[in-house]
Amino acid sequence: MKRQRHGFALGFIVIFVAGSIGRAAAEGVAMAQPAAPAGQTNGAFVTREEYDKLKSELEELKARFNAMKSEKTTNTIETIQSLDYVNQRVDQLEEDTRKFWPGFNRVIIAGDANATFISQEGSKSSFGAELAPLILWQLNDRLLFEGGFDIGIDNGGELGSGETTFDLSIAELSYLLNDYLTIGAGLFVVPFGVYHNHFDPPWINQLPDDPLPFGDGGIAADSAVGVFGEGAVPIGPTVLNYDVYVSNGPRLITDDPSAAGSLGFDNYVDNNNAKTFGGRIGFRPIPEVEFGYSMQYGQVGVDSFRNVDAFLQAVDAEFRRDYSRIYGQIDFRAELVLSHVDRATYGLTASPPFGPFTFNNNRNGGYVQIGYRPWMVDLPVISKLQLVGRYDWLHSSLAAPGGDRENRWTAGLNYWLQPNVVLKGAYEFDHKKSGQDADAVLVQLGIGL
Amino acid sequence: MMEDAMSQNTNKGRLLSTLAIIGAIGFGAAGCESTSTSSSSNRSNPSQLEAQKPVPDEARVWAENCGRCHNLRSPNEFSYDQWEVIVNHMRVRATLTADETRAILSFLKAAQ
Repeated sequence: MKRQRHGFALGFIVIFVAGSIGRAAAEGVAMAQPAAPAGQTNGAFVTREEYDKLKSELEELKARFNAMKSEKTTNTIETIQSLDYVNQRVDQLEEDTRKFWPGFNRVIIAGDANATFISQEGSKSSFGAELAPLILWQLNDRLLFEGGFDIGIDNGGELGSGETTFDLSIAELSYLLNDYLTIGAGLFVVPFGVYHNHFDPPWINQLPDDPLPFGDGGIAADSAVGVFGEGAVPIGPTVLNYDVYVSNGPRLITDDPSAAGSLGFDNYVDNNNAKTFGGRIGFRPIPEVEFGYSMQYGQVGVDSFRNVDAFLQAVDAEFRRDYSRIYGQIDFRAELVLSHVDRATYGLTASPPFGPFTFNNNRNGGYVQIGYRPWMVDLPVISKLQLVGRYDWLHSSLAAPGGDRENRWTAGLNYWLQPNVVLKGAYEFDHKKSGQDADAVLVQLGIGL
Repeated sequence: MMEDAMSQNTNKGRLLSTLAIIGAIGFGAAGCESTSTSSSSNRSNPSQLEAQKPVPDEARVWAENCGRCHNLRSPNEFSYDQWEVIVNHMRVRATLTADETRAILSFLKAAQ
């Protein structure tokens, strides 16, 4: 009888526990049969003591089960938190490594390339090509290196050798000292005016060739070897930026009868101990407009010309903005360059009319360029066209050897294949006061790498 | 020689006048109604934001500064690490402020 009662009890426990752990312990308790009155020994019921004991065991089991669940959840959260921490530390270490450890993983090849056809009055027409790769390397968050080459074909008219030319154009190291000052050294593009620094690459220049004062035989400094500092300071909604530099400076040309009194800007080895200094100060009253003034001063002569100094000045203005009323963008650029070289006598050993010549070499040049791109017109072909007009000039004293007054008008039509690929066509109306006019047709494909 | 100098002065004066006139036309036009600042490259360029849509500050800084000299390149043309190298170099070349540089980098990171 006792065994049978135990059998009933065991069965009851199994049903009770299963029901409790199953869907709801409370329901299970509610479903339990009422305990038999004390002393009643009917085999269908458990005693009150047995019921209480079972109930307490069930509560204990539930408590342990919940504890195990809670422990597991806590462990999972701790594990996730630990992983997050480890990931954060790894990211931080990677960031620190990038900041402080010079590496080769942040090197990029940029630059530009072009293929050009020129048919110029007085010269044989010719195709040409140039590649100007730029190596941009960020050694760490503050230290930058930029190296550039000009690789081209020497097709300078009929005198061109046709051989490949290879020139180092940039090799500068810059250090971002703070938010307002960057210092650097090496062979750098001179911040004299803005053409060479901003608009020179063929995918940025909107015409196939350089404005006269910035081209070959021009009067604006282009690159130099030395040290520089530069920065920009926000002043309310406007920005003031500055560049200063000290360099070897240009060289006074004294040995070329056709260019005596001019400056050679590829003077990478100084011809005297005096250094040239210069700089530019720019102002952006609104983001689309910038004005600038540049100057450069230094001794350029040596030996009997050691007292000859050169003083160069330039002013520039740039503007670019979209106008919905004309369905496109206006781009305006203008620069004026003044070059003064002290009075000197050249060709002392020559006999008249080939010398000697004594003069102040005062020259001036500049350009005014305006472009219109109707990119808002809803016709793909039209929206990729750009009309460009430029007037540029280069005037030198007619008393100087090779002196002339050249004025040129250029009309250009561009087709933008991509934001960095442009096909340009232009016609130049050239007029020289003493030399031969050189009207030209130019076609160029310019690519930004 | 004197005639030469006078002629040069006349030329200089004429050219400065030309500069002044064209400058006045250009900056007068700047005061007219314009679209939001952006630079053109082609019609699908994301820089060509519609005139009436508000432009996030960082995108505006990117469009204004990079578009001042050249067409905007797509943010997806380079990885963010490459953009960081390029933009820091452009900070030096184009004398951008440090804040402008940071805003441009932030835009390019978000646009990846």
